[in-house]
Amino acid sequence: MVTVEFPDGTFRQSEKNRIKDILRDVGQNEHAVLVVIDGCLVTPDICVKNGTEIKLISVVSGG
Amino acid sequence: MKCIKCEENAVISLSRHNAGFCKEHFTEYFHRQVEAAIKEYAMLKTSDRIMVCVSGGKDSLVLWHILNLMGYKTAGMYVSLGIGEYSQKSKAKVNAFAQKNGLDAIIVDLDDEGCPIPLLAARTKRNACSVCGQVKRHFFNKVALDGGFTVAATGHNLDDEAARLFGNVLRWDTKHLAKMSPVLPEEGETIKRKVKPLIRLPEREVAAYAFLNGIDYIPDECPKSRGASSLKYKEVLNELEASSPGTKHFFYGEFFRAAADRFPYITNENDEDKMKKCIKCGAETYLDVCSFCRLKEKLNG
Ligand code: SF4
Ligand SMILES: [Zn+2]
Ligand SMILES: [Zn+2]
Repeated sequence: MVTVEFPDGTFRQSEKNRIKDILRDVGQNEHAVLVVIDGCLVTPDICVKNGTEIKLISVVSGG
Repeated sequence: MKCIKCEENAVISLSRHNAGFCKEHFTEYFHRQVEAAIKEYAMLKTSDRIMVCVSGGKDSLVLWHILNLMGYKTAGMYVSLGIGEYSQKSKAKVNAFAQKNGLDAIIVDLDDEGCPIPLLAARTKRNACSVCGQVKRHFFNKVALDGGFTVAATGHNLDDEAARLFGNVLRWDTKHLAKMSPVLPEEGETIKRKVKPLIRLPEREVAAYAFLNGIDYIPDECPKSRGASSLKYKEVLNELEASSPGTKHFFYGEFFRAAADRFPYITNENDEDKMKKCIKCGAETYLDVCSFCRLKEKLNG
């Protein structure tokens, strides 16, 4: 299980392990977020271990 | 994924190039994109005094950071809109950025001016964003004139401009299609040349640049932007981008090659001799009192 922290501070779990699949699983477009693990940016192709926490940064500015 | 330049682990992937970059090579790529946009559209001269219009968000602070690195003479110009906590936080980010980099920030505070956006919108029964646009334009023009700036730079990125183009095409808004260019010429004394040096960069890359280079910005959006149609257009364009990488670049870039000449930019040059100075604030106007001063009068009426 991977824990996903959303930009608004809420959390969700995903059973996938590739970032690209995790994003799809939690309904995020990979062009609209950045993914951070342990303070580092990662690309959507990487796979993460069970228990990893990933943080999403929204990149879309409004108005 | 590895960096295509050095085989280090990539920190960002650019699907339209089918490539990844490490921090160092992404930063290099990013700077090259800004330089290319400035050159392609002849946006800036080294002699320019640039007023960078900042909001405290990622785009404008990244732009200010890069123009400063490139050696341009810049000052930040920020209008605090009087929109509660959002305005307080974003002003603090602008001031902190300026201080950290030894740069000048010119701050106009609408609370101090007695005309915060929520109050103006309520009294005039207008939409906050339309009042906001008018008030910001007034102060950008005024500060540019008073401060002797030669050009105003804004942090609009590829997603902002592709979404704006998309909206203008959906409405066949020819007046605004004529104003899509990332360089708009100066008009009269007051309106300076306007440039958008980040137009080659999608906002995801701007956010990555800010993250990797420690640029501290306000991640929250203005609360008045909720439900804005531009957000919907961005979402649609990102959907298309996910299935066909490169769509946003193509849509925006090809507009200038294939269609922009059908929507020529019309300056008010012939009307310039009809311009006078507002009797209240000195801004250029066709009437005795400028539209901003007339707006403010409604607060007292
Ligand atoms: S979203 Fe906020 S900052 Fe943008 S135009 Fe509307 S009121 Fe102004
Ligand atoms: Zn590299
Ligand atoms: Zn006036």
